[in-house]
Parts: sequence; C-alpha cells; structure tokens
Amino acid sequence: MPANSRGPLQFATQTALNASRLSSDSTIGTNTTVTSQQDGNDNVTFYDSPTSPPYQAIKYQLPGALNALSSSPDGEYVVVAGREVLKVLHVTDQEATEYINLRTGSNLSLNYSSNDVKWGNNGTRNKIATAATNGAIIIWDLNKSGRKTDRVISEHSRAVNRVCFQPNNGYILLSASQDGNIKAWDLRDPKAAAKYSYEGKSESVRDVQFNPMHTHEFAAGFETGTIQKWDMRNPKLIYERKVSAHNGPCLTVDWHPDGRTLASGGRDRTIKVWDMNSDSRKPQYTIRTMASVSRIQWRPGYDNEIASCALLSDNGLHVWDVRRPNIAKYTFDEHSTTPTGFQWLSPDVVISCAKDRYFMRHEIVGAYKPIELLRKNGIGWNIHGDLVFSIDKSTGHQFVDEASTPGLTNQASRKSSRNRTTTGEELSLQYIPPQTCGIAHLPLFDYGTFSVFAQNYVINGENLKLACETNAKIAWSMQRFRAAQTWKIVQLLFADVEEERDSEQANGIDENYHNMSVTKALTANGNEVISESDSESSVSPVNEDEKDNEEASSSDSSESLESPIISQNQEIINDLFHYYTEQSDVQMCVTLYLIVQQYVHINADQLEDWFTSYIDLLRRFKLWTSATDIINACPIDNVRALNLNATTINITCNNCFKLVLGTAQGSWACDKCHKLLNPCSVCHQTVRGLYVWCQGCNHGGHLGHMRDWFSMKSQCPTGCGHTCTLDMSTQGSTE
Amino acid sequence: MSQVTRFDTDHEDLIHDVSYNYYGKRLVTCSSDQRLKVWDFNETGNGVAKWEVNDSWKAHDCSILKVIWANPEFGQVIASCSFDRQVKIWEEQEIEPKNSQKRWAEKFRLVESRGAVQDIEFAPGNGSLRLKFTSSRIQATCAADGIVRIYEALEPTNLTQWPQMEEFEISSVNSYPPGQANSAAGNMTNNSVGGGGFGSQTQNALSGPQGLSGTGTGSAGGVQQIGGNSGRSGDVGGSYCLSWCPNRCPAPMMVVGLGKEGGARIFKHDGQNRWYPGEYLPGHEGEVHDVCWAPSMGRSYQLIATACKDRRVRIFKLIDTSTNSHTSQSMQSRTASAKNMSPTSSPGQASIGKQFKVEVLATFADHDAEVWRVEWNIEGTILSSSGDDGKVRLWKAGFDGNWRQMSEISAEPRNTNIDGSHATKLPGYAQPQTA
Repeated sequence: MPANSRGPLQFATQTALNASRLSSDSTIGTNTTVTSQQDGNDNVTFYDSPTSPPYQAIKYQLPGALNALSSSPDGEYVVVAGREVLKVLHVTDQEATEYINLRTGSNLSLNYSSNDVKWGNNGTRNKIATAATNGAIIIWDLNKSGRKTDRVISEHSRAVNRVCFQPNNGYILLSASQDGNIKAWDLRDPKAAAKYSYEGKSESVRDVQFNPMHTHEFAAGFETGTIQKWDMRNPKLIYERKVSAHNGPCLTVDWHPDGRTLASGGRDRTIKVWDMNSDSRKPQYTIRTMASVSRIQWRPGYDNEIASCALLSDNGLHVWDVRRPNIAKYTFDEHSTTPTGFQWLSPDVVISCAKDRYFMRHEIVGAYKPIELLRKNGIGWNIHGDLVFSIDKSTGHQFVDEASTPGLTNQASRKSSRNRTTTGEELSLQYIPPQTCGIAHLPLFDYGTFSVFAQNYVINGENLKLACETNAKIAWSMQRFRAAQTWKIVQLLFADVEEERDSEQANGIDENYHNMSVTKALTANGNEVISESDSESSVSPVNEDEKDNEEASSSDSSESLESPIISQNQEIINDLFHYYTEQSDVQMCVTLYLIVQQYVHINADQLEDWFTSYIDLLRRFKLWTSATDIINACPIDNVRALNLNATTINITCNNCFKLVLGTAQGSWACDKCHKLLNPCSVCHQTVRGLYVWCQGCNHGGHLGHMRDWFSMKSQCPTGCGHTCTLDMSTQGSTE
Repeated sequence: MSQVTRFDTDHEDLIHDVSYNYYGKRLVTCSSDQRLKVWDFNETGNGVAKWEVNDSWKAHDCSILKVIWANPEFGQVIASCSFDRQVKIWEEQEIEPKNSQKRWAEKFRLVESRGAVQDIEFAPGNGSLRLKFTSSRIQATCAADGIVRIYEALEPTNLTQWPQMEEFEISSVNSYPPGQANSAAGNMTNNSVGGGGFGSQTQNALSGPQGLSGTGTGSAGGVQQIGGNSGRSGDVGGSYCLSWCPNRCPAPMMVVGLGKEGGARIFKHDGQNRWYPGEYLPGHEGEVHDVCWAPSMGRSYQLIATACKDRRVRIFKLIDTSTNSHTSQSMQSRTASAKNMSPTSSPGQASIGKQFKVEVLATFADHDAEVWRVEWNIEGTILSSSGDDGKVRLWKAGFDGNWRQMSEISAEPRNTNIDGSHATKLPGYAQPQTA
C-alpha cells in the first residue's frame, strides 16, 4: 500500500511536467471559452456507490508553501499562489497537472510574493489578480504571450490582504489592505487610479467580499473585530452597518448565497452568522472551533453548511452545520500543516492548499465524520448500586434533525423566531440531539446491612465461640440467615478444637477448593446431611437466604468432630471462603478470616486482595472507624502500612506560629516565646486531649470545659468579647 | 426498588461521559458543547435529596470525550480529555461560589498529544496520583499513531506539576523484551477459547510466535499505510481506549483497545520504565470502542469486558497461570502472613509480571448496534453496556456461571411524572427479599 500511495503522485508530477511543456496559447483560448459557472456533479457520482474504494484526495506538490488559491469560472483550472509560487493547475476528477507557471525566470520581486489570488470572471475570465505583501496588486493576463504580467498597481502603502472581483462584472476589483483602506478598481481603465477608496475608520482590513445577490454591496472584516457592510456606490457614506463581531481580529467574512446572511470568522476561534438586514447585535449562530478561523466559505447547495480552516495548530478543513455549533459535520485532514486557502468547486468538491506545499482536491465522500468517532452514550456506577447513564434515543444517523431545527432555509421560521427574545431565538435555532440522562437505582448492594455488619461484627477471634455467636446473632437480626448459618457452622467446627490447635496444624493442608473428598469421608461416617450442606456451599446455589437443614447438618457434624478431622474442617472453611469470594462478599471473607485465622491458611495474595477490597468498600461508605479496625487487625504488612503513613502532625505555637519541636519529649511550651501551648481558656492548663477552639477568636480549651462554659454563656471565656456559640451539630458528633 | 430517575443535564449537545466520584455523591458530565458540569447530591431535609449543579463551565475547545474523578485523598480533583488534544486537571475552589463558572480551577493541562485524547484514567492504588491517557493522531501523516502516555503528579499536593513518566505506542509490538515474547506467545498458544464461533479465527491469530509477530508486522504495515496517507478510510486513527487493572498485582497492567488494528491487548509494566505488550484478547471483528477491567474483589481470576464496533459485548476471563506454582507453595507453607509475600513481590517476579490464560466467557450480540461503553460495577459482579440501540443493558453471571442479561434500561420514558422523574420497572430483574 505505501508504494501505491506514492505511485499516482509521481505519475501526476510526471504528467504535470509534460503538460507544462506542451501548453500553448491556443489551448488557453479554447479552454477559456467555457464559461459555465457550475462544473456539475457528474464527477462525483462515481464515488457515491458504496462499493467503490475509499476516496482519496488528489494531491499535487508545488515547489513552495502556498497561501491562496482560486479556481477559474469553469472550475477546470486553479491558480495557486504563495511566496515563491504562482501556477495555474489543470484539475480534473482524476488528477491535477501543471498548466502554466506564472513565475518563470528568477524574478524575486516582492511584488510576486502573494497573499491572495483571485481569478476574474466574464470580461476578466482570463485574468488573475494577486495581492502582494508589499502592497502591490498584480493583474495577470493568461492570454498574453510572453510575460503574463498585465498590470501592477501599487497604491496601497502596506500589504494587501485580500482582493475580490465583483460577481458578474469582473472588471471591478476590490482590495483590502493592512493600511486600513479598501479600494475599488476598474480594470477597463488600465491607467486610472483607484476609482473609489473606502476608509473603514478602523484598523487594517483583513477581508472584503462582494455580496453575491446585491453586487453593489460588500462586506469587510477588520482587525479590530468589526465587520462592516458598504454600498460601493456611496464611498462617502461611512458604512451602512457595522457589527462588533469578534473578540480580537476578524480574519474572514463570507456572504451566504441568499445575499442577506453573512458569516465571519476570527481569532477568537468562532464563526458567527449575522443577518445583515436586521439590527440585532447578536449573531444568529455561533460556531466554536478549536483554533482561530482564517478562512470560511459557505457550502454551495447546502444552506446551513459552512467550511472553515484554521490559522494555526489545526490541520483540518472542517465543514460545519450552523445548527450544530460544537461538532464539525465533516473534516478533511489530509494536509500536514494548516490549510491556508480553500474553495468549493461544487457542493461535493473542495480544493485546498497549505504551507505543506500541497494542492489538494477533496470530495465530500472522502471526508471523515467526527461524530462517528464520538460516543453517544455514557454510563457510570457508584458504590450504592446506582447507575447513571446518558443514552442517545435518536433513530437513524441524521447529523441534524431537519424537522425540529429548520435552519437558514426556512425563512418563515426565521421571521417567527425574530419575534421572540434574543435568547429564545438562539435556543430554537440550535439542534440538540435527543439524549436521555438518568439514574437507575438498583438495589443490588444492601448498604444498610453492610454498614451494620461493618460496625458490629466481632473481628477478634480470641474467643472464637463467643465471636461466632455474636456475629450469628447480628446476621440473624439483619435477616441474613445464610450468613448466620455460616457463623454457626464455624462456631461448631472450631469451638471444640480450640485448645488442640497447635498440634493439629502440622498436618498438610489441601489447597484444592473443589476437593469433594470431604463429602465422601463424612458420608462414610454415616452422616448424610453434611454432604448436602457441603455441596451447597461449593456449587454456589440459588441465593435464597434460608436453608432450613443447614443448622441441623452442622450440628450433626460437630458430633463427629475429632482432632484428625481438622484438615477436613479446613476444606469446609475453604469451601466457605470460595463461595463468598465468588459472591464478591469480601466483608464475609475478611471477617471470617479474622475470626478463624489461627486455624486456617489462606494464600497471602488472596488475603491481601480481600483486605484491600474490603477496606476500599468501607472507605467508600465513609466507615472510617471500621476501616481502621480492619487495617489494625490485618496480619499483612502491606495493609497495615496504610495506617502507618503520614502519622505525624506538626503543630505550631498558637502565639508566635513557630513550629513546635520536641513535643515527643514532653515539651508543652513554645521554644521561642516560652508560653504554654494550647492552654485551656477555662482552667489555664495545657490541653493534652481534644482541644476545641472557636474559629472566630481562636480561643479554646478542653472539650468538657468548653461545653460546660457554653451551656451557660455564649461569649468567649477569655473575655475577648467574641460570641462563639458552639454549633449544635458539632456538639452532637463529639459525644 | 429499581427505578429510573430522570436527570436533566441541560447540555447543548451529546453527552459523552458521566462519572461518579469515589463516594457516589457527586457526578460530573461532559459534552460536545465543550462544557463540564459537576453535580452534588444534596440533602434538602425531610430525607429528600436531589442532584444540584455545583458548577458548569466551558472547559475545552472541542468535544469533551471523557471525564474522571481522582481519589478523594488528593482533594476534589477531576481530569477531562478532549478532541482538542488536551487533558486538563481541575480542582474545586471552595472559596468560589457555586455556579460561578470559577468554582473549578484549571490546575494543569497536558498538551503532549498530537491527536485527540480519547481516554484517560487515573491509576488505581493509593499514594500516587497517576494519570494516563491514550491519544490518537488524527493527522494521518504521523506514524506514531496511538500513544499511551502516563503522567504522574510527583507531589500530590501540587497539582501544577505533571511530568510525563512513560509512554508507549499501542500498535508497535516489536518492543518485546527478548525472551518474553516467546513466553507470552507460548502462553497464548495454550488459549482455550470458549464460544466456538471464534475458535478457528483465534487459532490462526495466535498460533505460536509467528502468529504473534504476524500481528505485529500487520500492525506496523497498518501504521505505515496511514503514514503514506493512502488507506485512510472513514474514521481516521480509530478510537483507542484503555483501562488499568484495578487489582493489586506485582507490576501495573492495563488493557488497551487497539483502534483500527482491531481487538484489545494487555500491556504490562516491566518494573523499570517500559511497557511491553502481553496477551491479546481475541475474537473481535472490528474496532474496540471501550474496555473495562473488572475489580476482582479477591477472586482468583480477572474479568475484562470489551465493547466492539462489531455490535458485540464480550467478557474475557483471565486465569493467572504464572503464579500457580507459587500459590501452591504458599498454600503449603505454614505462615499466612508477610513471609509469603516474597514470591510474588520479588523483583524477578515483577519484571516478568503475570501470565494469563485468556478465555472468552461470553459474547453478546443483543445490542444489535455498535456498542460504545462497558462499565463494571464497583464489585465487578455486574457489567453494564450501552450502544447505538439506545439501551443500557446489564449483565450478570447466573448461578450456573453463565453470563446473561439481567435487565435493560431504554431511553423511552414510560410514565413521566410532572416533576420529571419516572419509575420504570426493570424487566427481568428479580427483586431481592428486602430487609
């Protein structure tokens, strides 16, 4: 594939060379007779069939970075311009070839370092205007033999940023310059100076464009961020309308084909859409892009779609639907630098150029749709078993629902929306995908029972019998009958052998959880019921909380308990652990382990998993005390270390704020000011236990003294006059 | 009672992620409208509580793809990633009023990515605040497509310093440390793949070391192809996703969706500063949109769920094969405490990491639409998935060990009350006996 990708390109360059060698004036003459405005869609249809291979942009590399491009009126030829390049390319739907090089010879004059280029129309359909960084405007005549330079206009004092031919009358040319002037030229008069000059009373002019419908009107974008609408017949009138459009420079403007709507783009990274006939100071739409907007153009045939490219940092050429201001509908990303110019040739074909020296011809089928990379739904769980979700309920894959959001085409809706308030108008115009967000409450985790167990279970296994009995009672009272049965079983299994444990543990321990030999062994003893309870715990049966025969069976088993059977106890315990692990009941696992840890041996890895998981759960439920108890009871160093981190608190003297050192040695006075630390305001002794103080006046003392004092008084015991009544809620919690 | 409460976010475009904090009492949502919204579950008295906006602010310059909470021991910190190629770290400012758009201050932005940042996740475990994210280079001329970067706030109290610690390319498989390639591949040959439909295909992909290196060159070719900018089709770069292994293990691990290459792979840390590719999760017939590694809660095996473009949800079971010998040793040795830690935590063991036997536990086609998200509950017992069919489906293992659908939540409101909340009985969900 890499070889293939290079192939067409080399071929294209080859043919480009041939074409440029063979090009002659006669071919230009024949070509320029074609004046149809629209190229038609027939070159696109081929790619519309779904079986066709993915469309690839036509690329053509030029010898230098490109700043601008413009297509001939028939769309067959494209002129590309840059600092060192000015070439006309012949572009078909198959390839791009060089047609003519206007920068022949080694003419390095600044006049030819082009900022912008435009192809004329009608009377000037063979002419090209370029705008130079030194303020010159150069008219090129392709029909001229030899040097093609037709005319050099150098009336602007600073760089010309944009030139624009009047639609349908290519003799009229507008130029926008950094010197703050817009000038109109009549090219029929080869000697004349500017016909009109328009002073925007503003900063440098970044862009100017004729209105396609009312061709005497034009709009200009200024470095101050304003856009102005002019009537070119009235150069003395300042402007017809002025809008402060952007925060920072406005870099580009483009008229909608309806002749009424104007879009502007600026360094503030927005594209704004204005109704130039209304007096509203608010844009109809605002598109927020990720980089400053350097060029925009409405997509022909799609009233709501506009393409943009960035000035910096974003190499994409994006096509937006104004009703969906956050996500581009299409993105072309073939350029490796920021595109500097682009133009729609037809509704589905766009040409672009960039500083990466490439000219490209893209078709819309070759663009990717950013929306397809985006998840339309999200889900999240919390510890309480709540599931928050957002799901898209839109059917089909419409980018914008035309029915609910009519957009610019529907003039009726525009009129109706104008009657509303400005904010309401904006809301009604934007498409918001139908997404539902909700929280499903799933009672899968019984928080209440969990916390009761966490706080009340006995975790000290020294008196195993009593611990099991207590835990069984707790479980029973919470209607966790299965857990209660487990505790009873454990109690019966181990109560009798407590004193014999040391000798018994020398026996080998079988780690196989699924070993059913215990069942067989016990059935051999004539105890039939035990097999049932054993299989129950190993097979993890239906989660019903009650098993009637379990207690009976375990009591039977206790009768047969003799010291050699302790290894079999181990297996039952292993089965229990296995069952509760599979149930993800780490609470049971940890508590059970802590009770019987003298008798059982669990893989340290598994133990650590149980403990860390359980401690994490406790912390999520903010059961800090229980978590600390578990950590302290845990035999694993890694877990115990959790409570050994950062246990030192440095305190400062409450008089001079110097760090108090040596409290460990019993020093309770400040090293610097030699005052007693933390004296109680009531008894004037150093407080060594709980110190409470008022956040307002910083006086405090023993909790008990403070409580006594404030039960009668509301003012500070020091007599500082501060009213520091204790908050009732803290009073409650300290008890 | 199982019920659904409507939650009106007022976002102006698609919501891409919702996330609970550690305690489940706060939410953050992110959307294509470039805004983040933080919600608090406030008790309003009378035992009634409701979700209220804490703040809503414009956080990025493009669609925000994911947002996550840091462990609260580091404060109220969230991280968000966006199409605008940045990851931002936010911290709540208690002194700023709520709904001031200033309540959450940007502490840092991670700008190294040259493509959209598609997934982020804080590393599990206590003590260190590590963040990692994948990015894909949207720009097609870059061969470094799909890089996982790992950042760490060395001083957790200072959120303004996030040096990049490590990075690795998702698609380059040639970074195997010698010797480990063989062992990993050999291990994968032993795969017994459940769900017969995938058998033959999987055997092909994983037949010994050649099979593995084959995948490697295939992916390298893919990258080159993108580099040559010829085979660019549809969605560029593909979507990458990742999930840390949330469970304690000798060396950090994560599962990464391989983007256009298809499938997902486990990556393991070698104990120094390198990540190397491990087991491949087979059977995917398209891009993996999301991966989620389940908390194991002490279970002996690991579960990983994937959401795939091929309209399927898959659950993989990973059985640890490397530590079995150690396990039996430790089972036999008498002390159950710290002495036994040595076999698994020794440096030698850590450098090799765990080896897994991968099984496909379940493959669900119920969505019958592209599946975009999978998420385990906190205990790792229930899997939720959502897709383009507009439904959230919940999956749970039955008592016979088979995974099946537990219930589904659909977007259509059935009986909406005036206050906007509606209760939907979840079908197929058995009510437990309530206490």
